[in-house]
Amino acid sequence: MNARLDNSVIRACQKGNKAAYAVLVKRYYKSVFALCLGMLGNVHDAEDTTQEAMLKGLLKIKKLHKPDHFEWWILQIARNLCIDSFRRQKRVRVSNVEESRPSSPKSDDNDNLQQAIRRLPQELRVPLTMFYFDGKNAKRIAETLNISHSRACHRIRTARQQLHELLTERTNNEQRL
Amino acid sequence: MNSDCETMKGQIADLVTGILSEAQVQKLQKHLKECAACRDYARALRNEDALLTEFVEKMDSNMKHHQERLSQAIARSCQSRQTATLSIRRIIMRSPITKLAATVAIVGAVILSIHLWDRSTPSAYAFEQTVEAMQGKRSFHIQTYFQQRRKDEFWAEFDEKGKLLRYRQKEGEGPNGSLLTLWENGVQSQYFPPPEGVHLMKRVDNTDGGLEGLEEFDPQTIVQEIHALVAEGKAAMEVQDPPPYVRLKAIHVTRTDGKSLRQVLVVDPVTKLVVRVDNYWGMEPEQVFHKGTEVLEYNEPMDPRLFKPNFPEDTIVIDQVTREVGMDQGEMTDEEAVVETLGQTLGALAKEDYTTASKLCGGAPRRLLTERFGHLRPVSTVSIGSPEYVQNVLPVYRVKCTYRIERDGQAETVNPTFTVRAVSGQPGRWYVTWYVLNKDD
Repeated sequence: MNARLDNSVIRACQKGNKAAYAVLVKRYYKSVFALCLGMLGNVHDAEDTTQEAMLKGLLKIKKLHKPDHFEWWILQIARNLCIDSFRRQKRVRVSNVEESRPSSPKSDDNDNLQQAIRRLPQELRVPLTMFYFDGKNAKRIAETLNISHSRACHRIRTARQQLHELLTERTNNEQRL
Repeated sequence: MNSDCETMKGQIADLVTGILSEAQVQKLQKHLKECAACRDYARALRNEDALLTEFVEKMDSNMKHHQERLSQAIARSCQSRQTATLSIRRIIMRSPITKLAATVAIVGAVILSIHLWDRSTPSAYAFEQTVEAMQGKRSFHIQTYFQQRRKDEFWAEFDEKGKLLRYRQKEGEGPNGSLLTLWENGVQSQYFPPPEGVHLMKRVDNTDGGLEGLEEFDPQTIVQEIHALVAEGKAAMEVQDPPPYVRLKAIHVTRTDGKSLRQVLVVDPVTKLVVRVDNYWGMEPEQVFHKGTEVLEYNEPMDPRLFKPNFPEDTIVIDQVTREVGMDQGEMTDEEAVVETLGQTLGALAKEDYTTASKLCGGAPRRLLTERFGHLRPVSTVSIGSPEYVQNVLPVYRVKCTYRIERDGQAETVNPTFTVRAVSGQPGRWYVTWYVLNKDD
């Protein structure tokens, strides 16, 4: 889909055509999910926040002045919702079954991978999820995160190396059990 | 494995992620032929990549499901409205008799509503009336509550498109005044009352149509979000008619999507405007977290002086808007930049180079560094610890360090914790926050 078509869809949404918004959901859902997963580190929370962000986008689309900036705009909405979520977690220690569940030594590869991704620092996790889950290259990650291209490359590299260390550490621990 | 291998590991990660340049690929392949340890490392990363791909594919199918559900919910919500409107119109327009009946019904309804209006009898209330009444937000003045206690007071103005123009926030009631935050045209001015007595100016962008934290208190957004959640079937709403002696109407909203949030909205039945919203998170009585918003004024004209900085004359000004402050990160990682910024700051203070120290302390003037923190001036640095990341809107790190000072002619070792943060509006620059020097004495 090209930018012109995006713009016409956004204009239709702004005129009250909610059905047109489904096109934007389809196109940007993955980007929003990748950012939320990178920021929150938890698949379920990321799914909830992505849905919330897309709905909030629909409610506020009339406020979007530059249709070209839709991706940036919807990612900012998602980012702010993730920050709200941190604030809530900080203020209320809501018991989270998934967080407190001890990891099983027989957990499968996907569980191990999720745990390792969650243990990465946020500044590395976000570019990693954008790279693998959204298929963004280093240049687009740099643009999205407003950092230099070399820093984006550095973060992807470090994230990948630290992920390996976390996975290796876990495998070693499991072997000891 | 030899000394090159550590460098090569970085390149192997780049190779796997496809960001390695062609020239480096050839050099790396030569090394891989010779080094078994690096070959194992490359193999391990590739195996993990296969796992990652499999995980992403699984996520992809889940994502499609969620995405479709969301799209269908949106499509259903507009189809049902369109179909209902169209079918009623079609039935009415089918014959002259139905047309006449509809006209009689409309005229009757108008007469009846005029009659009811005259007698000032409250008409049936629908939440949509509140959604409608709250639209076209131009200004609000609100008081927020946290755990039933007064918290912050906000005044905000918006343009005709609902974009935030300016706001004022008043936090707490100290003996010397309140912490004030003013924002307009991308510049935030914060006044920290004595003992700080500081006016900090920095660039803060207004993203997403509302500054950080402000949007959650915006009554129009709160109402719209509740309306959308009820429409989506994620929340249930109960409108309670007040007893005759109570003027206001209470609306109870409970979540049906598993979230432990209860909301109570108080609506003025005449204006239909929301005058108070209380959110209660958590189910266990002793763990309930309360956040409230009282709408003191809505769409009332605001005094322009509210948004102009007018602080006491002896206030120390820290300007991060017109001055470039902090240290440039260059190619350093965030953690490296944090340690370097703190190291350079302590070094500059030890040499009494206040021009450099002021820049590294985010523009804190010499007066602040000498008068307030002169007794803590380092003479030599012993060690700087590892930065500890603090979750925030912009990255913030806490760093413990050890350095020597001179007090009454005697050498002394102190261990303060400093806060080093990214400069707002100046990407890639870091500074040591001035006030923590005092706090961690």
